[in-house]
Amino acid sequence: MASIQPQDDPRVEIQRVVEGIFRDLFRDESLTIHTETSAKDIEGWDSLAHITLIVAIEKKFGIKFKLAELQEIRNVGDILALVKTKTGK
Amino acid sequence: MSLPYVSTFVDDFVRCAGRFPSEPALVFPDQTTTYAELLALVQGIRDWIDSEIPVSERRIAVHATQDVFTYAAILAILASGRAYVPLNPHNPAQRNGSCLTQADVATLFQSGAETEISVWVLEQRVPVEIVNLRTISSNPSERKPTPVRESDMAYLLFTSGSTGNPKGVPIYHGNLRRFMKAFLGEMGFEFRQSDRFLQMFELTFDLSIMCFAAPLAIGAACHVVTGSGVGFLDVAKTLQRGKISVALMVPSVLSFLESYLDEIDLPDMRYSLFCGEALPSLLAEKWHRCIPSARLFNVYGPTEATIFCSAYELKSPLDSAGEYQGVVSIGVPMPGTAFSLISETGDCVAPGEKGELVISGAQVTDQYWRNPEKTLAAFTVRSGEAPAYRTGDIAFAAEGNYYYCGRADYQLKVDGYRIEAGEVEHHARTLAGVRNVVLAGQAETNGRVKLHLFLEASDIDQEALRTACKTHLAEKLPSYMLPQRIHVLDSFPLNQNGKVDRKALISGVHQE
Repeated sequence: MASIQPQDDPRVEIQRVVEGIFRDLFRDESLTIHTETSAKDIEGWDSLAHITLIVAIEKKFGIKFKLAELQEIRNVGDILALVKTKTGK
Repeated sequence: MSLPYVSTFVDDFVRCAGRFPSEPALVFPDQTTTYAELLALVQGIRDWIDSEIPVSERRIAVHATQDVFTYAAILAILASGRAYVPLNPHNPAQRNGSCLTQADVATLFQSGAETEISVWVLEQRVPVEIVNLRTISSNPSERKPTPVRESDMAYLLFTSGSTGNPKGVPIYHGNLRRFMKAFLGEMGFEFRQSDRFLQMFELTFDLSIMCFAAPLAIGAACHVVTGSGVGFLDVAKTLQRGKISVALMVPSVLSFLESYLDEIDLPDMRYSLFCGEALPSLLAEKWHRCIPSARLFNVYGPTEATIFCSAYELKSPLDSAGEYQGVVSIGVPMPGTAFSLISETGDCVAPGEKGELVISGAQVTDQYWRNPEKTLAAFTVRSGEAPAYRTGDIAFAAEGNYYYCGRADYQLKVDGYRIEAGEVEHHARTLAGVRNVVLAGQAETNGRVKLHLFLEASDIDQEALRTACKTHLAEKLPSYMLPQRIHVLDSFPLNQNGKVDRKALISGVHQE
């Protein structure tokens, strides 16, 4: 299998950008996210913060989530996968 | 002379359990409870109550989580002839503690071993016994519910009092029976045993009672939205997957779903009702397209008048008589309820004039719980007459329909001019991309009131929207009505009942 440099991997780039959005929203510069991170892991990630988060991600990547897609989001991994599909990366 | 015994929706539930034992009664995302299963749980808890709790204990508190034990406990408390006092699990323990103390209860039911409130009770050494509903086991008997009188209390809810202590609103069986009679029998709704009702409310919010009591009284299913995920996304999911046919919701659900409405198709919906805050007519019109077979209603009513007490049916397209300043009419009082409008001096207003809405009739309670001062300020109780309640809501009537114009407390006075928030909000709401609007006043240190307009809009150039809004309002409104500050937010904060939290909006301004 050919090795991929981390900076070339779109998944890493998407995760980095999304992490930045999380840090801004939850006002925590040291916050790190993983695919398994979910609402119960981050204090303040309630339904209102979720909407703000989704809107911020949509803006940043210039995409629009469908309702059915939003309903399936259970953790950060789901968000990253959706962004990846939607941005075609 | 004591009043005669009357039947309640719990008697109807017990009868339904006999007729439709294997039909679904409560449907949760991960679990369905049939009528027979629910009745067995109810009877078990009810037997426990009758054997362990003295008859003199008339009220029992419930830590109101959304699970089958909690619903069973509420039905069991009512079946034992007592009143239930729900406590919101999301409230700070201290606030719940204040409700416990005010309600003067000696028993608290909870579905589990330990909750924030049970810890608080033990720490504070409050003399309240905590009972884990999951540990109650018995061979349920087949006794009928204890007979009650109309003057017996059914539930005691605490509303978020504007200052300090929460205010208790006691609702009696007479009030609840009058609501159920009107809603199930007199308003022309043709509910069926095959209906699937949505229940999206906290059990401390009285709209929840219609959502579980009505289906359980007729053998229908109650689909409960649990708070496990993201509030309104879960509502949408339940509507779709549960093929909900009767749904009472708050308009904020629509504001949230607005940009996704073209993805929503609910052919099974038969009755769609909105309550709890002003319903914007543009939004209602869009919603109509998602529910092709349903009748759409805007209903209105404060907790003090039992769940809701007036209704307006929206036809599509909505005719101009159905709205005022972009907000749907609250319609006509339900059977058994009467409305009147009074001026600041307490006189009836002239026809067509605005005034404070006063509700009277059998759905209206007669007091705030153990609070003579607040009771006197809001209720008029004359012997031989139904109680009358001053709502604090401003309304007017035209051709029989009533129109809500906002809270009396939201009426803003700037430099001596009276400003109705609804009028400014109406014009701002017509701007493209704006989902929701709130105008609020903030008193400055010099005593003057500064007007803040909040716009809910996402995916938009905020600066351009602010400019467009300024220009638009300046064309429509006199200068004294123009807001000094315009704030654009991606989403409005909501309170626990899913309504826009005006206080949180204004306090956000302080932080700027």
